[in-house]
Amino acid sequence: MFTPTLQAEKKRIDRRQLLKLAAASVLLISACTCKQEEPESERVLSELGSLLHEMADIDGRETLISIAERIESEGRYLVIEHRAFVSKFNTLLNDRDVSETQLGKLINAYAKRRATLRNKLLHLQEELHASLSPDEWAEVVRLLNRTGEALSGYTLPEA
Amino acid sequence: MPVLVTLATINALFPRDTEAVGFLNPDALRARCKEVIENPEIREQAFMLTRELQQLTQQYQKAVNASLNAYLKKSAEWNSSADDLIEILEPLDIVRIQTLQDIVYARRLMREILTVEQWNEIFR
Repeated sequence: MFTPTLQAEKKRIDRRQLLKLAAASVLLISACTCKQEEPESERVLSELGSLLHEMADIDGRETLISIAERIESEGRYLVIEHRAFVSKFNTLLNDRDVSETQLGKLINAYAKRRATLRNKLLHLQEELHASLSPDEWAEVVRLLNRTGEALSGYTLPEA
Repeated sequence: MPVLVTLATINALFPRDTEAVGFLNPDALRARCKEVIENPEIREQAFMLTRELQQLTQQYQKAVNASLNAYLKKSAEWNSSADDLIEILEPLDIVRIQTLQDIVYARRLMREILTVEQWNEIFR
């Protein structure tokens, strides 16, 4: 049973964890724009670092933090790989001397690689899911839906 | 949510907010074809290819939206598993590969109608 102080602390930490998930979304959006060097991103990164450091001191949350960190790290890696693929694909398409065989090899190699990385990320989501209570997961889902709405107007417009 | 944002980001093939000419930017490609190609018949053929690329863009983005909505819905279920989510997203893998192959095919047709000089002028 938590004391009132510990209960308040636990609630605060839960909110911080959710804030971290939301902030990580913002960071990943930034990562796919040209604004990643802006001071605002640096500030958010610094805040995230501080939050993680504080949260690591709370019993029972280390697993959650570790999963969140791995999700963030794997997510960034996947985004970087995708950007590299699109850039290379675009460059090769524009080069008249590049053969369709070369393009096909690039497409197939990336398809295999990204499926492996993407599935790894989904398994991490499952780990995160398993580490949260139903109430906490409901909060994450609420954030998921809000982020989904934001994304539909940002990354995935109806053409 | 990092996973959702990552999934959305890694499905983006057609960059917005750029004027770089290429097969992944049909509007800019069409504008450049209009500048460079003088022969009306060839120009119309090139326009037709850019329209097909635009259609590919729309179809692909609709597929991405549908797929991510299904992902969101399944994620919201307390008993959803990674395998459930993978199963939902795998059809989009096929759509993406097909879209990329269709772009390559459009490039082949563009290559056939343009001279080397026109190609270099358009994609310089």
